[in-house]
Amino acid sequence: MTSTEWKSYGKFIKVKDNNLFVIDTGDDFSNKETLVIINGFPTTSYDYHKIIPLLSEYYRVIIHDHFGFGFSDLPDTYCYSLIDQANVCVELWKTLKLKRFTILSDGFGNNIGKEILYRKNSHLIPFDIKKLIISNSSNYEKYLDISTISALIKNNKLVKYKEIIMNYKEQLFYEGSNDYDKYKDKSKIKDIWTRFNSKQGQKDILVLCSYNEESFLYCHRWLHAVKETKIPVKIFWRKDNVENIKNILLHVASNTHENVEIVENSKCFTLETNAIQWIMMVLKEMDKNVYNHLKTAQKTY
Amino acid sequence: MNFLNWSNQHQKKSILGQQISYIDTGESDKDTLLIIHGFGSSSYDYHKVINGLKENYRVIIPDLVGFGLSSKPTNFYFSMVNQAEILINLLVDLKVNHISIITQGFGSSVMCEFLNVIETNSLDIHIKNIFLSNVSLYLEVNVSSEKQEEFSKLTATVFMKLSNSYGLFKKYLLQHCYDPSLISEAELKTSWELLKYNDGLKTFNFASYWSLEIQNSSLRWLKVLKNLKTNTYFILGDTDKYSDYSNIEDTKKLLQVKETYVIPNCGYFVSLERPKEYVKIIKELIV
Repeated sequence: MTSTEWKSYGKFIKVKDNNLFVIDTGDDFSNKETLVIINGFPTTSYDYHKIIPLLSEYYRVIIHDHFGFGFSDLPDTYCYSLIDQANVCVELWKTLKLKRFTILSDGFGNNIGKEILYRKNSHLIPFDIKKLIISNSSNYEKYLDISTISALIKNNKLVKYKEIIMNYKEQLFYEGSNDYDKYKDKSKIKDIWTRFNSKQGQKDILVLCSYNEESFLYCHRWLHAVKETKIPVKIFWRKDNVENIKNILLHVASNTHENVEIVENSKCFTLETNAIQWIMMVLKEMDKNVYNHLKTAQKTY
Repeated sequence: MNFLNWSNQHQKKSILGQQISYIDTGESDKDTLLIIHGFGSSSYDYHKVINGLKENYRVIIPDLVGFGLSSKPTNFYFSMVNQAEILINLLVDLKVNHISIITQGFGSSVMCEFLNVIETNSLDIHIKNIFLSNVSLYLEVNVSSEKQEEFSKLTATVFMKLSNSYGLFKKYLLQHCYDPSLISEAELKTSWELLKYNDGLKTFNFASYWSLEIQNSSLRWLKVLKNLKTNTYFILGDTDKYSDYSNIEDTKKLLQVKETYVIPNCGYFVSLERPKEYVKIIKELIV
């Protein structure tokens, strides 16, 4: 499937005055269970194109491109905050009138999944979440390399860039007022922002900056989300992913609850290279019936 | 008023795993005022205005988590997102859905997230008026990164110093008053006891997280503030040392600032130093 075909398969929904690209394989009347996928970075909904047709036979599948990725808009007043992205999820699911669903979150999207879970624990969202699956499908080498991550964290210049961009964006709120023209370097900063976003590798830097900052601020909140919930949670981990191992250790250390289960992706399946095996592994834990049905179906092929 | 008398006026509720201590003057037929206090203070900052305000309002003043008589997590930062969720749950528990808000400093940032949660989840909570005091929304509204940095460093140092000893706390507090004789030794002692209560000085270890979270969230909050149709009022002291940090001109471009009241001969802590004038302004605005 090409990306153009993928685009025609989805629709655009306005959230916070911007277009969000959404794939929704069902409708309000479909009696299938709903499965919501929160993808990570730098993957987009397109990376799931091999498994969504398969899943849609059993589920109403909903997946969207986060703002700034895939076919979704990049809003002016937004700088890749995970809390913002969780807000977008809530507004989208409300627009789609979802009531009960399972969440499958992946990679960086895991923290969005945990943020949603925390809000559920805080009685703020009306959805009935059946299960939360925390997975890790992507295998982008750059994110596995601890030296890249630490180089990013230690690079003061990058943080400065982010600060400048945030400030530029804050100025947009004063557009139209007399003072707006007072702010210097607008065109230069706009240029930096455009360049950052036109090159995939550079955009990741901003995403990672936000990710690191928010992981620092909300680390405890997100651990607590899993610790305090009564909703069944399954966490997948792979031995070849550093970031993922760190998180899993924190969860192992802080959870003794029966509803949280930690599962090893022992063959290190990823979405890019073993899409079908990956989703079969997830389904085995998520929904035994669907898994068994698919297993027999595959044998007959 | 001593520590014991003050704690007897409080009610307690367990909300989202935290013990929340709050003042609620009741009488649900009156308009409700929610007061969100600043960093390093507690509901006690408003003890001189409660009696005046409760003649016309139902006054609710929670101690934010980490302050006063509420729970004080000592080993992690209790984020403003968490604080906002606690406030929402408290209001839902008390069955309050129309409020006016009085706030200052750290509290005004918590208010931003509080407004964002209401908007994102289309909650049935309506805001009538907002009263901001000295140094509110400074980091959010300021667009110069140098000034933001300067302010973050200043607040981190101030809080580090004042949490050191009662002597320094007293010195800091009185420094910011126009007339230090208006604040009694007993009052200062109670404030300090409330800070220390339940290992509370450890909350100050997280003072720097506060500005980091504001900088991280400011785009989201500015958007919420810009969409807000609520009337906003500033109540300031004319000799406040930090008046440079009350960025009223820029705030006016974002919010519908209806009126700015400047109380003469008054420093940073308006509700402690000039309670009568403070109450009068808020009472006059009852429609």
